[in-house]
Amino acid sequence: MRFSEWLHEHGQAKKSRDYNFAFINEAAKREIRRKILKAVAIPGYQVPFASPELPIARGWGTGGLQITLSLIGPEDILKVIDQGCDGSVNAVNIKKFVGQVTGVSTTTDTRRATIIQTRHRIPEEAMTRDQILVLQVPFPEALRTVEPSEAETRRMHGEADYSQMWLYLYEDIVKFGEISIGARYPVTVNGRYIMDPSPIPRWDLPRLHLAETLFLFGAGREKRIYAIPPHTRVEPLEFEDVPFRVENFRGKACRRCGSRTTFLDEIIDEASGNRTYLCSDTSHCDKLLAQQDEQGDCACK
Amino acid sequence: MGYVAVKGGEEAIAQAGRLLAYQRLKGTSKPLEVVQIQEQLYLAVDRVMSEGSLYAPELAALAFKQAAGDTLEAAFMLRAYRATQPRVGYSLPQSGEEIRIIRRISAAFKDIPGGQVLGPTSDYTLRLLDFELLEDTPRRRRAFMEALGQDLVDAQPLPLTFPKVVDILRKEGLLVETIGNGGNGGKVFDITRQSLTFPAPRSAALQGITRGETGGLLLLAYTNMRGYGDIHPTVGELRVGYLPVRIAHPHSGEPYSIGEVKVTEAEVIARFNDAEGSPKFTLGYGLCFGHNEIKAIAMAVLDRAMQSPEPKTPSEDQEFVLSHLDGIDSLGFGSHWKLPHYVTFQSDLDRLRQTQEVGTEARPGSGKKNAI
Amino acid sequence: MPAAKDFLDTQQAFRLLLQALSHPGEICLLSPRDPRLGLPLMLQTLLDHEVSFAVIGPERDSYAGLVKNWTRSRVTEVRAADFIIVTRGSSEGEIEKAKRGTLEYPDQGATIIYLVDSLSREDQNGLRVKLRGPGVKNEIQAIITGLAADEILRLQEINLEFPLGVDCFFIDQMGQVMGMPRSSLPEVK
Repeated sequence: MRFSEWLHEHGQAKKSRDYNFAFINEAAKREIRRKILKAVAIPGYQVPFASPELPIARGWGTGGLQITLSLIGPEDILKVIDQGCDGSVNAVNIKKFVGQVTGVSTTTDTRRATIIQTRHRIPEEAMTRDQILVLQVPFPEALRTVEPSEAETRRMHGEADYSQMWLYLYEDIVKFGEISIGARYPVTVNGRYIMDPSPIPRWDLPRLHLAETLFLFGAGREKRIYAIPPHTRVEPLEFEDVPFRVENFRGKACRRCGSRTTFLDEIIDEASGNRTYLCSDTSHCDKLLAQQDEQGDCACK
Repeated sequence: MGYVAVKGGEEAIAQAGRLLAYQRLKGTSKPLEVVQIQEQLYLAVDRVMSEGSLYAPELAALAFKQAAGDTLEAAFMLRAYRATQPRVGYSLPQSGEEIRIIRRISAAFKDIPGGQVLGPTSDYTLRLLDFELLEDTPRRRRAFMEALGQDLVDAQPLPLTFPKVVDILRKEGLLVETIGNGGNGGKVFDITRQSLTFPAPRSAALQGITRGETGGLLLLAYTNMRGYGDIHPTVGELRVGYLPVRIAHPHSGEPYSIGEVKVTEAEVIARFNDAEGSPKFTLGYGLCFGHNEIKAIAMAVLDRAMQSPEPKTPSEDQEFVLSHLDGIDSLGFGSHWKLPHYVTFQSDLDRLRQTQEVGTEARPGSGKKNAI
Repeated sequence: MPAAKDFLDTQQAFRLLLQALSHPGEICLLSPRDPRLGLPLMLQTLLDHEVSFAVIGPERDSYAGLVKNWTRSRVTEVRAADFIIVTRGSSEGEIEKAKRGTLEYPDQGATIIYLVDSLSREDQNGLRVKLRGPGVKNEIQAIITGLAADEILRLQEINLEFPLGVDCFFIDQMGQVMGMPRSSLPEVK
């Protein structure tokens, strides 16, 4: 038998210009799926994986995409956000790509989505047990700030030797009066692993704690997958006398919907130089606005 | 209004794509055929295949055209295409001895078994701009080909294979096969299927470097050659040619040739003192798709450098080298800073303001709260 | 028996396995088409020629042949296997040889697949297993028939040195699946 015939018989000879459902070939998906399961089984531990290339650049959400593409089926409804916004160019680009290679329907409504892929935010609305949040991760290693070598950080995680990290935080407080880490604030998962929650603001961390939803984290370039299962303890690193705090938006409200309970983007007005604020989660902001319209009551005056 | 600007992304992306296509098409010259790139810009094609980790000259030429000559972008497209292709099987291990040579040289010995074969090289050409190429007419090409044909009448064909130069040293017992990180239990590691962990077996390291970006590879190897390292390489042998690809026949299990790929192979020799302190030679190995001699040499130097038992410089540190060589990774990450980061920036802003308010008055006290 | 007609079957199966492992103790129906397809579908979703497996229990060889056919995975010894299939609800202690990973790479611990008679919430006769831990709100109870009681104790012991350990799936004759990752704290009632 000739090799080409053998290929054909084994059903692998596809037309070279066709792309597979969800782009990644099935064997590579299987590898990613195996690793996702291990990530769920060891909450907060970074599972190395082979991370195939995608037509979107490394650093632009490939880790999240690899997870999404390995999860997704025709029945799913996908939402993609970047900086909390469905309409931002990167989110649109990713949504378009997944749409092209799967044909799934998409939504901006957090409640309707079955899979939400996000960069830098967790949606404001509470998610349910039937949804999965996929987070894009640039730096999976929370300890990288204190130790550049992967072999060494592996050892530290293995032995739960986190003294360097605590020392770093302590020195930070000595220098700045509080821990100076803005976003990407390290957490302890299930009382065991210190984990990088991806560059979400501290505002979003409480939503990881004892949640209904499964959180999957993908770092494509660094080739790591990790997870927080539902109902899992997620605690920001803090000292008894210097407690963790989220970003302070006291006295500020969204210019559009009037919300005082959401993470806000600071906007500088070109003409006056004044600062105003807008919800970072745009679809939630739209919802609040629509509710007010129905009630005939506008909070923004 | 800032709010409106971030929306409408879809339209903006579509228009940016059209504008990009326009840049390539707006000139008045004839459209560039993919086959022209494949034949006449073959070194670019080779580089794209090597960094793209897929031997597909036509697709590499297409990617090069689509990327308007950016080899990194083109390699990236090829890699992405590669991820969609099913793996139908594994080829059998192949010795470089079987390369069908078009060029092979050794800097270690003046006379080598089989002889030096200079082949097609630009090494001894003067890098003067050839202004005649501005008028590259078919007539000139024909004249060149005719003259070449006449000179070839008495030429002897090359043998199919050549013996390996380093085998001379091997037979004398002067060569230590490998030091430092060794094998993987006899199995070849595949970094596209298994995740790379450190210390990595040598097969994983070699695969990592051969997919590496040429410039980055050369830079790291150069640091070592120049002084931030200890390797003083001699090119034992450099080969360019066609390596047969064989698989086990699906039914009989016998080796079965399915084609050949153009490769460059470099073996560099460097001195090292073994555990007893007696000097031996060690080998650094490089092999890449296509004709790319500097890449193969740099690869061989890095392979040797990473075998250092006690890494002292960046080029000797396996984790350092393998984590930073991939052009597709570094390209993506380097450019991702263009994406909006205003949520993280807002978070940092909050910290900064708080710090300025509080000053440095506050002092930490006792124990960590949720330490484990 | 071709369980996975195409990629969509394994995609759906994976989502259910993921659901099962992120909600330990909950029972998920893997193959609504035909209960007999549950096991092959699960194996085709997880195994291929890149990983290895071992079989523990009676009919070891015939199972090994089947699994090889379904998945093109490699048979190996229990102590080297990525996946271990326990055919009759008890490993008789064999499971203690399974890979548990290393402190640096605990994910290299094996995945154990137990073939049991039935999984349920209410059955009066089976083994009552209570689970706590990640994925479980407070506490959950599952009743497993066809699983030896000391098997859970053994797994408890193996997973004592978390993050080292093994992760389990239980699959019954109806094609129902339950997950029990190493992070779970099981108790036999």
